[in-house]
Amino acid sequence: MADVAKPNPVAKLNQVSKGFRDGEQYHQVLQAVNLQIHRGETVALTGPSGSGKSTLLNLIAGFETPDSGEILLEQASTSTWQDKEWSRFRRDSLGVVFQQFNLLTPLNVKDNIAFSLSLTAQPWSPWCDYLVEKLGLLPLLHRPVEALSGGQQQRVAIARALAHKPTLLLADEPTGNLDDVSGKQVMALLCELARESQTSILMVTHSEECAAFMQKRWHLSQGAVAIYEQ
Amino acid sequence: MNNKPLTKATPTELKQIELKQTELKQTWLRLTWLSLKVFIAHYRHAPIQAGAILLGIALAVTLLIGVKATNDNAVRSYSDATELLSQRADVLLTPPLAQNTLDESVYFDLRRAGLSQSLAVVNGKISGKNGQFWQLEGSDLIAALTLQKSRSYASTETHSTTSPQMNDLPLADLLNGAPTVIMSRSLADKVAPEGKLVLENSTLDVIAIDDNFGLGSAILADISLAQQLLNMQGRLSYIAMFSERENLPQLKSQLDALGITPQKASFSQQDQGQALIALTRSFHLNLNAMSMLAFVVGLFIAYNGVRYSLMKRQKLLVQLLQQGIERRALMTALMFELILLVVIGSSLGFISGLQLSHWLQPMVAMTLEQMYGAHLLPGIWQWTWLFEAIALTLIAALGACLPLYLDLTRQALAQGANRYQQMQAHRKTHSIQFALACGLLTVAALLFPFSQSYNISLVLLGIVAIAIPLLLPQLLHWGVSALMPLARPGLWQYLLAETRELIAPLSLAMMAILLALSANVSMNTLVGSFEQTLRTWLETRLHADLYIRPPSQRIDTIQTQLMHDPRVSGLYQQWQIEAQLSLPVSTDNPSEQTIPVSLLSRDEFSTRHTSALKESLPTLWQSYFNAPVILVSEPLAIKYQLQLGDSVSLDALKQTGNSQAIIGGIYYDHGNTRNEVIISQPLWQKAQLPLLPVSLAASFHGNEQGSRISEAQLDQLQAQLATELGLSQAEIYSQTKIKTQAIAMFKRTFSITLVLNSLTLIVAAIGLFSACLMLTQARQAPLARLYSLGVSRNALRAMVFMQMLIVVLITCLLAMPTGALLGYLLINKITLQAFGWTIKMIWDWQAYGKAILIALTTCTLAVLLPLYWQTRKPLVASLQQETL
Repeated sequence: MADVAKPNPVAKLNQVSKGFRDGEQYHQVLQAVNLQIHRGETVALTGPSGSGKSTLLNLIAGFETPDSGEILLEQASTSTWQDKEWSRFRRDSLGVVFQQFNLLTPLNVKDNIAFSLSLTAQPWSPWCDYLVEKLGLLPLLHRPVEALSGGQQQRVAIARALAHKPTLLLADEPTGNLDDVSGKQVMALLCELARESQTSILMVTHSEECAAFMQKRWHLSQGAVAIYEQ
Repeated sequence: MNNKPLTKATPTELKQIELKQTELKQTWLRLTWLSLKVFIAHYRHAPIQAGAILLGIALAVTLLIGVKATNDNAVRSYSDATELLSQRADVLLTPPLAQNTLDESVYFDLRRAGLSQSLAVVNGKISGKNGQFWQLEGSDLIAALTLQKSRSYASTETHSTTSPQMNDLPLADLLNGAPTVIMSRSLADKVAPEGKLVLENSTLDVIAIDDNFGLGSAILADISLAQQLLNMQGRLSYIAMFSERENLPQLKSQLDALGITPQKASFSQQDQGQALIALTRSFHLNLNAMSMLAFVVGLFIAYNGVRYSLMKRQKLLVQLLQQGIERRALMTALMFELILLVVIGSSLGFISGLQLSHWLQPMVAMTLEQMYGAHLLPGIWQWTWLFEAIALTLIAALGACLPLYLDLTRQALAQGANRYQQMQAHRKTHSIQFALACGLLTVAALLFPFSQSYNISLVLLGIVAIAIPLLLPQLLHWGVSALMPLARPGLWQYLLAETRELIAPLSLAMMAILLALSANVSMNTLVGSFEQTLRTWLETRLHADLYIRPPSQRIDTIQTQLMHDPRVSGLYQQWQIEAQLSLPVSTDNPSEQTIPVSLLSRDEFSTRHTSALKESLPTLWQSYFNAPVILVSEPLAIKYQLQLGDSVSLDALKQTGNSQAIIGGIYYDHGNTRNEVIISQPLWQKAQLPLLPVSLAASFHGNEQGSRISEAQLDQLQAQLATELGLSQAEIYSQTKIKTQAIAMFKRTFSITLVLNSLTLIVAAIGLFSACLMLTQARQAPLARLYSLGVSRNALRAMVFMQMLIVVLITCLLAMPTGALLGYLLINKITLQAFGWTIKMIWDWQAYGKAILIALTTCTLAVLLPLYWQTRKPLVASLQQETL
């Protein structure tokens, strides 16, 4: 009912299934999942370990392919997408924040943030200055990323993910390596910045507190999704 | 300090201490065994890591054993195969001064006098089908048989190997004068598979004998057949005599009593191959140096493998320490692992090394036969080589890996190694290596001008060879950093920034590649320069159209015939005898040294126009023809540090009343390892040396006045003259043929070095391949990060390729000056001091390009293959992987 009034979804999953073979055994992780996330929406993805949260994120990011079903990103079906189309989507419209940060270690903080911009030939913008200031990275800009603490590295990862104003931000346990205080700070900033850049967020988390920052919560269990409005 | 008073322990206390110690020992052993089991499990999951280490060790040992077996066998052959049928003569009766052959009657006199321990020998070159030349050795087979029997009784206690027996030969046929020759089996299989061989237009039966006889590529026949084929009826080349060392003075008096004076035959004591060993020392040292280079390159691969495997196990090692495994136990387990890998790798290398030696030996045999006239026996092998290889590899591997192990076991347990700190440490190490390399190069640069000895120069060359790879990591760092400002932000910037980080994990492989490339470039420069120098030298030396070396008894007739031949435009002669040159006593030479030399004389035209002089006194030619002034060959001058103006003594000049002579000139003598001296014809005659020349050279009129004869006409004329003068094809050569043969011989001489060099480059290329393979695997996570940010797989592939290309190109670029430096030292120090040949250095772009092409092709394969495997797998899994 609510979908009628909302704009077209940024990501939509139609009957998506995914399983893995482990030797003789086959594990069905996702079973005919139907989901959609709209522009500016923030969603927390929760569920027990092994329920397929990260798999769902990987499918949307194109890191893995579904066994069946269809994924639509910005209204385009990805069924026929090749490496070229996926790469373009990730460059232009996607931001990813990992639990392990996954920063580019050879580059310093500023170059890490500018990397996503450079891929789409965009210059350093006032938005980037704003991100840097907001995330408290100004004094760290020219430092090697490996010399930073976990919290600082996570903030760099967020700045990098949002620098090119993506339409969709996927975050896999973004506060998993942080303490409670830092975790809350990071979540607050993430939500604030996403709101300002009109970026949708899909975040995997085990933390109730983090999930509370999101507008919606999807709970994954035994391959199926239960949706809760918050 | 807690100083407890020392009291005597009671038996119970002692027992308790003993029990505790046993328990501790057992715990320690258990922990070591547990750690070892974990490591084995690790390798089971990552067999490529164990494979890379084993590959490096096996390759290193293969080349080490391959060359060692070849060298040891050659040196063994010098003492065992200096005479026919494995017999070793103690004394040689050679032709008297000024003669090429001995009268056969000398041999009959010896036999009649009861000196049965002697063997008559004729030898010479003989032409076969298609103009191919063979070395024919003819000996008295009955005498040889008797001798072998008596000597084998005497030597059974000292020789453990069973040598083949003459009894196996069809002696009856041979002695009946059947046209039969004997060849080593390996040669017979190649040239006479049907048992027939054409020599001097006669078809002969071939008997193949075991290679252990040491015939090499020579052909053996009964003396009567050999004399007939060599046109030496009634003549002998020499008589080999066998006697105990202590009986030699007695033998000498017996010979004197028989009237075998120096006028009839020269008595020379043999050295059981010692001279040959000394003469070939440089050659074998070169091979050893090459094998050590390849060994080091191989060890680079092994070390790289160990380092990579430790890097991948860093977390595991920390976990083991966290679990309560003692550092000492961990260290012992790592040592056990290394020993195990060294033993397996060395054993594999030992087997393949023996196979390599089997392939190399024919090549070395050919080279040694061409250069020094040495025949090689078939290969043998010894278990001790394996133990030596294991010990050497273990010492090298432990020396290289111990710091790595200590670093690992000392790391803090609270955290895994900090990669950032590691990178900083690598940079520091690279700076230290660079400073060390500069220091070594400075030492070498300061010492090289003072090095007059080949051995010292080789050590200095070794220092330069060690310094070259040490320069590389820092230079790579500077090179990539220099490119950084040129890079556009984004992927290009990342590409260069990451390349800088890859220098540390790649540095060892690149160091091995640089060393191999530099060695390759330098050897190619040496060989190319030598070939060019030899060609130029041959142009100067060979001025006549045909060169004739007839049997000594016919040279007078042939000379007269040629003098009156209207087709001949110029006739040139060369005289030659063997003589002794004595160096005066000086501070450098405290006791008088006597050197055997070939004393030559040439006609005035040849001497003036074909002696390629290196240096000479200002008024050489005036004094040369009027005073006792001599020319010495460059190898002789360099070996004994003879200078212009030095006074030396020649025994052959005694008849002039003054055996002293002044060195007036030093001439180039490329490709010749013998010591030569040239004196003028007036001096030769004054010394009453033989009037008959040993060889002749003739130039011929062309069709037109003053023109030279064409190639086609010369071939025709050569055939005509051979018939007219009754010469075999082995006795008359054209200038072109000599040049072709000299170049062919030259190429064969260096073939072994070039093969070893290429093998080293291949080993280094394998090293690069294994390093790239491991590195690309280790880089899955960083690549996956880029992929997650939207860099396409193709862009990733291009990026990785570009990164490797940059590193390889900088290395190749550096190989140019370092290769040139090594080449310069090889030419101007090593070859000059070892062989006495001055070579003009010529840079060979083509050879350099070829070496670079190999490096680039390897790099392409090394990157593309793992990259292809990797990009087929989902990259997402790599995001959680540890990174380098």
